[in-house]
Amino acid sequence: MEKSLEKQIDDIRSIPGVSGVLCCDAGGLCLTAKGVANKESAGHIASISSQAEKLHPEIGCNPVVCIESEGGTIMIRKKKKLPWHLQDFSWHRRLNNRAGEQELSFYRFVPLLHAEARLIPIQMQMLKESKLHCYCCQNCRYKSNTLWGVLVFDLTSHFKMKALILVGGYGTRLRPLTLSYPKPLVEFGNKPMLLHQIEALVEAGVKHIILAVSYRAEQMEKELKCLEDKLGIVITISLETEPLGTAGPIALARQLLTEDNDPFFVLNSDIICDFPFKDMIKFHKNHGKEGTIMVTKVEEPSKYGVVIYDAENGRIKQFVEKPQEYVSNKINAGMYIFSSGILNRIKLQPTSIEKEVFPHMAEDSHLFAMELQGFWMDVGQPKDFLTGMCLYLTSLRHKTPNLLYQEPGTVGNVLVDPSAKIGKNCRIGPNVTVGPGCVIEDGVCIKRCTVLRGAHIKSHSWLESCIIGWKCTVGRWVRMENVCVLGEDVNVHDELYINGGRILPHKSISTSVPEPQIIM
Amino acid sequence: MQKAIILIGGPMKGTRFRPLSLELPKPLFPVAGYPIISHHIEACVKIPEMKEIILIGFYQPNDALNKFIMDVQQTFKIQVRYLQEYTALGTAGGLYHFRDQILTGNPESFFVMNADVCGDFPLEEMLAFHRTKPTGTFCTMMGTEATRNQSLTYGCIVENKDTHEVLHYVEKPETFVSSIINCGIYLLSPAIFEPLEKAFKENLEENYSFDPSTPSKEVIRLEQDLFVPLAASGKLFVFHTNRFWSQIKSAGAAIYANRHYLAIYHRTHPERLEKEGEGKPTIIGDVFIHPTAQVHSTAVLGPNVTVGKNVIVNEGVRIRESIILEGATLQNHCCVLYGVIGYNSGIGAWTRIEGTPNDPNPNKPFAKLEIPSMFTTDGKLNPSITVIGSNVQVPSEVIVLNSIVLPDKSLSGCFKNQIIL
Repeated sequence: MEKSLEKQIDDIRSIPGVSGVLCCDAGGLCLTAKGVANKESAGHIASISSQAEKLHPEIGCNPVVCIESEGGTIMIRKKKKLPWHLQDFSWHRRLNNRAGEQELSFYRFVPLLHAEARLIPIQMQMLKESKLHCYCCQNCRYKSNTLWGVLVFDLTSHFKMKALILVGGYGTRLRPLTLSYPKPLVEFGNKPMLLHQIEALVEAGVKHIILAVSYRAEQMEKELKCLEDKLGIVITISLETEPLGTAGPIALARQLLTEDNDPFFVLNSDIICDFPFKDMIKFHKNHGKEGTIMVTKVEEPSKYGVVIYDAENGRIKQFVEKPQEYVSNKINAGMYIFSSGILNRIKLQPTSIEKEVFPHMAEDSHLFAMELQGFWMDVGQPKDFLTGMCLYLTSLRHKTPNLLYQEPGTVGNVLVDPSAKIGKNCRIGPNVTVGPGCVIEDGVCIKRCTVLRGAHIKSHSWLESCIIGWKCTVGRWVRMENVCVLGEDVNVHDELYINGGRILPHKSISTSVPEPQIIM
Repeated sequence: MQKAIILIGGPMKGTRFRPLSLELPKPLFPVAGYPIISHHIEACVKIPEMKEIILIGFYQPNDALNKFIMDVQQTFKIQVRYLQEYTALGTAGGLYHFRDQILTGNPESFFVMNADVCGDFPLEEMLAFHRTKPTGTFCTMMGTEATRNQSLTYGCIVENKDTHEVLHYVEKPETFVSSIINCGIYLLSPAIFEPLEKAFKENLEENYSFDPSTPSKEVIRLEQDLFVPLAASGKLFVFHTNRFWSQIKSAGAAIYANRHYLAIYHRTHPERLEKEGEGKPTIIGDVFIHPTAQVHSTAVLGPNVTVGKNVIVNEGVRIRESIILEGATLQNHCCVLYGVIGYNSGIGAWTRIEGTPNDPNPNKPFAKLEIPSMFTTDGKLNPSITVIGSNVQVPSEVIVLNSIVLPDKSLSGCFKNQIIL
């Protein structure tokens, strides 16, 4: 953080004619001084600034004070709001906040700082030995002196971490849904797919999320920018002009990822699980090498990239892509944490991280595997989307059962948005999500389906294993099954049978689709 | 005096109608709420001089047949008798065998009707037409127009356009002969027994040249053995109708006939057609509901639905273009489209029973109902009306599509394009 503050100050200093910069807070604490600026004057400057503000309250905040002399001009400018990284990470402010008072006076603060400063070498020592995680646990924190405990907690958990999410291309596997919305914005469990990851990242202390996108960047940006304020993070879109594979986007975002030397996350956007980001950080810090890969156990490893690693310490020995014969049931789960050193291995060109980067890292003993607990699913295609939804709802049942729908007529795990309306004599579930504004009329049976925002299911219909797109209408006595996917605003007339149909947006269907097919 | 003979065939006939004909003789299968031949009898009794209706066939006398005869005698106040052939004697063999019974009371003429056709039979007009023909006329046959292609599967009639005399008759020709086809409804004069006797005796004589490899020839077919040789004799005439007419060979035809008989009810029995009302189900088009059936007010029925005796139709059930036979139960929200639900069968909640109609092409004038072969050339079942045999239990939430389920099955899942034994 100080580094980025310094960077800002360096920027100011690079303006021709500027000979010195001093930065202090409203209490007169000198944060930094460069060039001819005198550190001792910080208190005076703060005072001048606050006095100037009182001179003309109606002018409003942030007056700029100019003191002109023959030697030059001194400009004092107050910034009401510091960038987020300064707000949260300046030692001064953090100590202030944790001490329980919004504005601890500067003079009372100094002795505290002195006391703390003596402890800094000890902190450094502990960090080095990667032992800090044990202080993280609640017990230790409450037992130790408040201020000290808080400091330790912040040091260990609040890395200024970044994450790169590989959003990628057109999401063709999830068509026809992705014809209307980019895949990360398609709701999974009534929440855009990407938001599951973002929320988990924020929970783990990630403050800057970079989305590697190769199409529909504007739509993504528009939808996601509002999250920045809500979650207190920065979201940057890193736009690929040509597809760069799974490693290229990391090189493309090099500038953003190397603002500091902290490790960063890289995630595939298609995966859904109980994201264990905090544990990943700990694991990664513990082995101290370049990369950590999450692995998960699957029943059919032959479809995936299998990871062979040392069960003792997690060191990865080998990768086998789609093995014909069983070698292991642990596969790459598409979630990584890397130290900045990995950037030396990746060039800005289309590159597969799985095939062209990981094997070399494994050779150099720089890659470790951590086994994922709980469910995992790649939800990039409709069949797996529904399977993943079942797993996700089961996980909700264990973690936050109060979120699940409990009304009569519900079977198993069902998630219903409060704004959705469900009629009488329905049977909803197991494993159904119903989005906002949906209308389910009387006598409908829905099993293992996702019904997206604004869809309308009319009376007596029966749906199983379907994804009903936004604003669709499904007529009365319709039977749909076998992974039907309706695009946005599809209208299925009364009394039809749709078996495994993929129906493109805005279609009106008036004859049955008895065998799986795509309706253009 | 007039009489009518209805040729009801026997258990070996009408196999394409299985499994609907497994429990009950096919002529007694209810269409639009009433047995097929009940519609024939109803057409017959409109003739004022009609004195007797004789059913000829080779079914063993059975309860169903006896009960039917009792019922129609009561309803129509006319004598109805069943005369059983000792074996299948062909369409004319039975007539000859029971000639004394037929000729008792000296009828002026008598109708002969095949039981496996249905239609809006204009028998009075036919009789009036017959009476205009010279004495000694053997037969007036009812004919109707078919498409060139379809005519090949019927008996084809070439007529003198002015006199309507039959000039040529051929049964199921290989190439096109005439688009006028034989409806299987005839009006015969007692004089027909002369050529019939001749044909019978010729047959018998053939049997004397004993050849164990050919079966004994007792069968006399009205079409091949009489009409073919008698054509152009000036004694056969054709009476044209353009009213509804169809064969009932398959289950699909039963649905087709059901629709047409319901439409005829508008003229003949408007009281049989269900009307909407307070606490009653939603009715679309023509629907017949037996008074003993219980149909929930949230059900939607029609068009062209017949619901039989003691049937239970629960909440939110949808039925379209179907026949629900006596004692069947349809659970909540199930949907029956183009199907026949057998006696005492049960259909589970949210289950879908769906068939495919083989309706005649509406854009082709005179097109008749096609009777497609059961299987395609590559051995797959041709999509047709779905038939659920009697005492079949179909579970909840399944689909039975274009399938035929034989009686007394308990299904366990979904079935598509299958015959379930």
